[in-house]
Amino acid sequence: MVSQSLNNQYLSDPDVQLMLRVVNGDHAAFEQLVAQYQDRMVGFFFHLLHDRTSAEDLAQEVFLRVYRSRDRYEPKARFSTWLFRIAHNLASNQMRGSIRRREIPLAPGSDAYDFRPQGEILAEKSALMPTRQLDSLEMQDVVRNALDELGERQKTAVLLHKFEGMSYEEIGDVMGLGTVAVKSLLSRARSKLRETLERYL
Amino acid sequence: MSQEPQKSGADPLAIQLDDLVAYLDGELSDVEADVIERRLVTDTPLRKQAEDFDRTWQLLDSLGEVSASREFTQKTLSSMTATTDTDGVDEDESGISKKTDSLTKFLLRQMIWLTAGLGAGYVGLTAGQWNADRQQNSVDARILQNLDMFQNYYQYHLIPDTKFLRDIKFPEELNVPTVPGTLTPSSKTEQNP
Repeated sequence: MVSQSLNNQYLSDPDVQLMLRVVNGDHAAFEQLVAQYQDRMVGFFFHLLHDRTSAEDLAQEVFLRVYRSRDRYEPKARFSTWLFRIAHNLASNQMRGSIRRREIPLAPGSDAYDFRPQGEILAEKSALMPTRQLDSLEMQDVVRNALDELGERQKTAVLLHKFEGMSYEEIGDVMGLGTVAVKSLLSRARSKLRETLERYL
Repeated sequence: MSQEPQKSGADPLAIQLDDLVAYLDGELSDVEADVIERRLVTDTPLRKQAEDFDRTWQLLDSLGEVSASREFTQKTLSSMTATTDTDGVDEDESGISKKTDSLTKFLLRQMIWLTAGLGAGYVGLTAGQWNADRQQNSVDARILQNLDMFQNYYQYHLIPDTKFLRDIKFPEELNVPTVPGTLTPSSKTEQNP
């Protein structure tokens, strides 16, 4: 399998090299990959789901899937692209499941009860504190809510581009889309974000 | 270009917006980027739009970085070790066991169908036999119930009808009780003076 792909362009990726060592039974190489990507994985899931426990569980599941499928591994993409493809599939399943299992929130008065448009909620929050600048936690909350206004695919594309620094092509590889579709997805996502966060610009 | 982006994907303004975002993302070729840059110099609303996009993008930094918990690595590696044991079995036998599994399943399915067919046949036969027995028993019971009649069938056959029986005259000294509706010798006399 490895010999077949000697001319593979992705062999220059050091993480692909680590993964090939995992294929050959090197557990230390796998540990290195986990250490290297764990924060990014947990961060990706956390920004999508806003739940640390779920984020860690899913990140762990990604690594386990990588390990379980090591015998079938072929370096057909950068390692990070392959890893995030697995993560994206898991996240999509999880989000579809969570939509089906949406629970009634227990805390009255929380945002979860507020079914008004996000822009309206944000405007109201802002009006409560017009004279002072939002502190970082409040700003984090505002941006998170704005991000939640995006559709699942837009949000994923934004996270991969913003936090993973992926190119349109790589995002397309992860999400199974063409470059033009990614371009349009990100354009719409950024327009929507600008609209929602306009008063904070 | 300076207007708000239109929602329709076919709108040329929307396409320009895609290009503006792609320019900010560093996804355009040198030639395309050059076109956008020249437009930005002269088109103030477009420049404002680009600045807004850029600032919005920077706001996402406030989400901050997220780190895995301290025990994450250890937990993940422990799970990996746990799966390695199970994987070992799968790996050694993967090719063979899958084939064996499918053959076993096939044979099992055939057995189930065969057993079900035989069972259904047996049930059908038993039910038929039981039904025939039941009919036979029913005939026997009726014969037993009317045995007296069958035994005296030839005598009963000689009697033309029930009127004949009613008209039979018993000698008065036998003192046979009269059945209502039958003719006694005295009533006959009354009827025929």
